[in-house]
Amino acid sequence: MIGLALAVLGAALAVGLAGTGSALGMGIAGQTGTGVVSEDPEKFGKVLLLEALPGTQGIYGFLAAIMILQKVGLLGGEVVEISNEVGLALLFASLPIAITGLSSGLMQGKVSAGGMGIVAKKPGESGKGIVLSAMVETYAVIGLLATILLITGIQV
Amino acid sequence: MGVAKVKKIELVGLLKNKRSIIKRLQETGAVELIGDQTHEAAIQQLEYDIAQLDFAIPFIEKFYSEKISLLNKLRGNKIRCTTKEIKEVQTTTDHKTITEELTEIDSQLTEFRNHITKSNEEIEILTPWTELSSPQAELEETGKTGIVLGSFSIEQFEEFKKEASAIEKEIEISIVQRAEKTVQLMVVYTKKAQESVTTLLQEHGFVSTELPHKDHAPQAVIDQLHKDIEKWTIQITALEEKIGTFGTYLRNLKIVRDAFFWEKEQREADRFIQTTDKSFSIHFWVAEDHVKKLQSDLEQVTKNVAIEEIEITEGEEIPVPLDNSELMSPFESVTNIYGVPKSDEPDPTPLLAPFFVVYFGLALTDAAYGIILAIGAYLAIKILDVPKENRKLFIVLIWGGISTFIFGALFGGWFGIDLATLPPAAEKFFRTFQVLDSLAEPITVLLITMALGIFQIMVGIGIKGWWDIKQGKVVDAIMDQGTWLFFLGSAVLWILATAEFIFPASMAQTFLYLIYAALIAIVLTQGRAKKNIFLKLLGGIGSLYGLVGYFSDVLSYSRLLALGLSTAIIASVVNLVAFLFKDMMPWAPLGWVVAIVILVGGHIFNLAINVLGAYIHSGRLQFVEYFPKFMEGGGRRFKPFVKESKYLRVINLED
Repeated sequence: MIGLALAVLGAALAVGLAGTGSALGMGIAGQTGTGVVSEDPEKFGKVLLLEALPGTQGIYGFLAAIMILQKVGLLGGEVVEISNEVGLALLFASLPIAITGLSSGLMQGKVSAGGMGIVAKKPGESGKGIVLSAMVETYAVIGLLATILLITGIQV
Repeated sequence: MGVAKVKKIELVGLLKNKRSIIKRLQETGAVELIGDQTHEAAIQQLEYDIAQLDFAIPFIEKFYSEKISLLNKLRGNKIRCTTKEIKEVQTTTDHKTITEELTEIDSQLTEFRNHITKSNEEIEILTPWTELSSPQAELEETGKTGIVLGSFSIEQFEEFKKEASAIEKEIEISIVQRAEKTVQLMVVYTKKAQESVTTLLQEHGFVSTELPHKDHAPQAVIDQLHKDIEKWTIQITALEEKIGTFGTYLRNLKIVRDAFFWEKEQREADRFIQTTDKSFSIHFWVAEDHVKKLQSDLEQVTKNVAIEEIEITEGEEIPVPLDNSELMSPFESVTNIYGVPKSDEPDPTPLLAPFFVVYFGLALTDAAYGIILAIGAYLAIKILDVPKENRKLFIVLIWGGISTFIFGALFGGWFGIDLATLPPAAEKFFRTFQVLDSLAEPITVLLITMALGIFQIMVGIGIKGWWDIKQGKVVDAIMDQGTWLFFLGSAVLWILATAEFIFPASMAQTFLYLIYAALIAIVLTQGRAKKNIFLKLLGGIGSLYGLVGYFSDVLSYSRLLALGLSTAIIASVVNLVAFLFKDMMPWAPLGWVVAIVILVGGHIFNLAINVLGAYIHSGRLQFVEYFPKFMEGGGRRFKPFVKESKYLRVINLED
């Protein structure tokens, strides 16, 4: 059963770390955003969009967790007996999105927070703030891609 | 010495002498210039009126509950009116009286509110003293004794009491009232002990109190204050109701406000006008295609107008208007995120549109989502009655939706449902469109995205070459873009041959020679700007570093696979969770209700976040991977002189 426990740890890390990255990032962006909204409530839509950007990492982590859980049959159906090696492999497979989710979520939040300045001063150019923030997400996307490829590649 | 007599002078001169005359005037230091008072004053008056209206309109709106239908709210609640109506409203609306009246009401409101705040503060001070039966003013000192009111915190009071017992005979402490943490005291002392009593009090942190309205007993004052507050509150409510009655003027005020704003902008345009005695001239930029139309428009105003092209001086920054066909113009919304190209660069809009649409579809790959998105964006235009100039984003989403539908069908994505679980007939139907399963064969999709990447990068380099040739820089085009295209092309052929795809493996060697040839060509040509032969070679070898750039560019396209997979997997998770909950419910109909709520909410959420992701990342692939191959950007956006309105939407009678 150690194998199964390791796989579950992998799923937990993916959700937990990537989610933490998103929570930190959205927290930073949101705090800055409230300042902009308090000056001009009509900019709420744009502020919300910028705040939401660092939220994707958490979803990517969740997605990885679901894939792992599905792989070991914890989502309905029979629980698959997996060896310790396979469990460990699944745990490691979760690391790319767990680590990149944590770091890129936090940093993307910082860029989003900076972007709030664009929303406040040059609302017509908000799109640039969004693109700058999305640049950081690249590494979470690549992390997710690696995790997905690894999980699909592991034979149970 | 006296006050010199001043004369008002008008100087008239020839324009060509203007500079030198002004210079001489400044040198004499003898005149004070008079600005064009009427003009400046008119602008100031307009600015003042606009400011007044900008105060009045939200002020009325705060207390006027107008019923706005949800639809109108979504449409931005703009007032629709014709130019004729605007003119009428401007003459009939007495905005001055209204705004003055509102300003008066506002100052009254502020006054009453201040009264209430002050009274509440006083009540707070008085509350701990309600048991003091006589007014503070009546507790006067006598010839031999002094008296003071004040408070201690409870702990300090105990200590004070201990020490005060030493001078018992000189001091009388009576507790007026105890509160939760403080004790209110009246201290009477003999005047000869005044000094020691004062020090003792101070040492223990005694806070002496000066009660407000000290001619009356605290309780009586509090009662009176409460009555006053009530009175003021009633008055405030009455005033607020009165503001609400101004709601009927709201529409007209908004019309007047926007009309004033336009007038102000028109008057400010005078700044750009040069006048002579009888004529004036004004310089402006206009897109070439619009010149004819502009001329006929102006001739409708008066026959006495002429427009003529003037020479552009070198180094002048020319604004860049994007001007695309009906089909391509929606994609300007993508270009505009990045900014406009320089005036001597190609407009990237039509060049990015097909790539953008394809990437958007690949990043979603769910046929059902595509249908919902396309129909949703179309309905949004119709229902929200989006004005033409704001439709671009929605039209891009319609195209994106169609592309998503096509790629979704090809990849077998329908709400993330596992087709194998469907009834055989339905499965067979959906499978007829499917050519690939991205979950089962992610590597194939990965290769497709990278192939698209290589293709787009080559197109980008090709555009640059074509543009250079058009500008007469044929040599540059062949040496810079030609060599790299040659290299990338042979690299693709080599990869295909090694993978035994299209080309047989035996051809790999031939293609490898092509690659070597391309590399040699690059090394030989890229250093040509350098003078020294060694530096030339070094520059050429250094340019090979560009390979790394192309490599990472191509890898970047793998995000399309990740985004597409995440849409599919989250969709399937939504289905999974919905049916898990359905099975958990004790009563089947309730289970279905719960499942449907989760399905609808979950899929809308997934669609929303992934459309956002697809839009941003498809855009990014254009901005970061594609644009630098053929443009720098950073041109100055064309900012037309136009009627900007906050509240109005002018409808032409022709419509």
